[in-house]
Amino acid sequence: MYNQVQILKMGEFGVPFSYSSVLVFFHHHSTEKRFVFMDWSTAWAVVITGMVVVFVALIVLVAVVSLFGAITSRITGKKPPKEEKKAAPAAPKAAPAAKSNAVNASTDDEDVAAIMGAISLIFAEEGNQNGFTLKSVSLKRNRRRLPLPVWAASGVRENVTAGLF
Amino acid sequence: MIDIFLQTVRDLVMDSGFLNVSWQALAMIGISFILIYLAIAKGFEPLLLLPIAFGMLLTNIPNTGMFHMEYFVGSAVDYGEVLHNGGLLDILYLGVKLGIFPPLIFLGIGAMTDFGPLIANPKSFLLGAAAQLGIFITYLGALMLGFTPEQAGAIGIIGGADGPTAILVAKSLAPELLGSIAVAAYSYMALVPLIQPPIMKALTTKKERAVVMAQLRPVSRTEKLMFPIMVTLIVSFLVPDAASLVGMLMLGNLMKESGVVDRLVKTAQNELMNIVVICLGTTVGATATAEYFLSPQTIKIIILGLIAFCIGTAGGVLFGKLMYLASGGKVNPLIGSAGVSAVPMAARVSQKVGAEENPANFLLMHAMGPNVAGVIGSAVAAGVLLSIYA
Repeated sequence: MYNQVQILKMGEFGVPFSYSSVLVFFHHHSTEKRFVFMDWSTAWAVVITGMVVVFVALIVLVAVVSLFGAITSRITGKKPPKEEKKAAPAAPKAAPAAKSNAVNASTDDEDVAAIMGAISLIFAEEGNQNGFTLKSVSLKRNRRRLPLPVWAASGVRENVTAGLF
Repeated sequence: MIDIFLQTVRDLVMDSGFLNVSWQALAMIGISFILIYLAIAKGFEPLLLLPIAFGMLLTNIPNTGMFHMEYFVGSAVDYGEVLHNGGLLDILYLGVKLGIFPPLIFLGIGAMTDFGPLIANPKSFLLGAAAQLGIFITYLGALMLGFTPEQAGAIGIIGGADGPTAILVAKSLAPELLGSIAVAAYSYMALVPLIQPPIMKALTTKKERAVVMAQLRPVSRTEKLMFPIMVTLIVSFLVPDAASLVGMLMLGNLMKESGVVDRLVKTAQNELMNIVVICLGTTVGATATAEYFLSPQTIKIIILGLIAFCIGTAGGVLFGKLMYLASGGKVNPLIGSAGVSAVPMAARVSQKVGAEENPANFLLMHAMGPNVAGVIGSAVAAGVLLSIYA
């Protein structure tokens, strides 16, 4: 493999006798020794070229993906802001039956279910790009004679708001 | 009649492996046992390491005629010789030599990958690019140790932490080193959770490691559909030699995201991937014959492979620190280490190290962006090396 043709091919890289060239001594796998004149300027050129090409290719991808993301978010993010305000008060109302100051998560599964129902309602609306903070949970008397379960109330709320907007 | 019987028995004994085995072949069989143990008992990338180990076992049993390395070493392959006189593994190895199996594995990987975190934060691409530094620095190191430029390129690609890419480059640039490179690459991929954390902690401060990143934006279906098409076009136009790998990766992803070819996606994820992995692993292992594996070059490759992984990790983390400074502390540098394309192991390591500083810090999805970007980056780097030396 490391025959005279190979050595000549190595010498064709750049300028074989440049000041940056280094004589490299190596063993063939059959222990036959060959001297190969290695042009380190070529080696560094390969390294720099490789990294530059990788970065250029991926920077182009960054630009294209970012641009496309901006275009699609501009197209899809057309919902009016008041829709988010209406959703915000609706969410706490959909989380009734919580204790007054704090939810005792270890003992009251219904309260946890109520909070989860409120959160699922918020994120069920498409295009909601902003996060929400649940600031308070308060007990609200249900005016219906036969109160709906929390999940059913959330489902009704979701269906009503989805139909309106 | 007795003479014929005795002659037959004599011929059988003379042709048996017992009379034709060398100590080198026995050593290779011993090494294959170790790799089988690592794959089964320790879970070191078993999907590929087990077939590789068994292929190594098969090829080093004397007189089986299953694989002939001499058919494939050199500039031109005599396909007639392979088809007429080749063994089972010779025929299957054509899938490696012709560059068919690695892109098919990428097809399956693309069908299993979610590029959403990358699309949501495109700057992750840069971390994937920075982690490819390991490839090129190792290339220089291999040249210093006396390898030819082609061999150095094949060894350097271990730093991409991408098995199919490493195999594709090695079979073109240095087929005689394919066995050693494959064993090194897959072994180190399994050792990512051991190799990366010390480097990540050494290059970052506690404050940097504790950075909590903002939640990723939702990614629309349109973006997920356009992404594979854009990547294929851009990368293939820039680096045509990377088209086979990147193209198949993106084809698999497009099939998955389209949602209209579920049968094809399931086949790509399961049956196709499994069949190709069996054939690829066994034949790559078969290239690890005693003549080519038991040499000082193998030890150098193992050392250089470790260096490649370390430098790749360091490159990604250092670029992550740069992004941390440029963004005013919004980017956690740990996700840079996931730029080595050991998906999803490297992302999990970022999550684990980040959680050690701040248990409420969930970096996994943020790290998946650079992780999958590294797959694309290593394919581009492979394309560059192939365009220069193949």
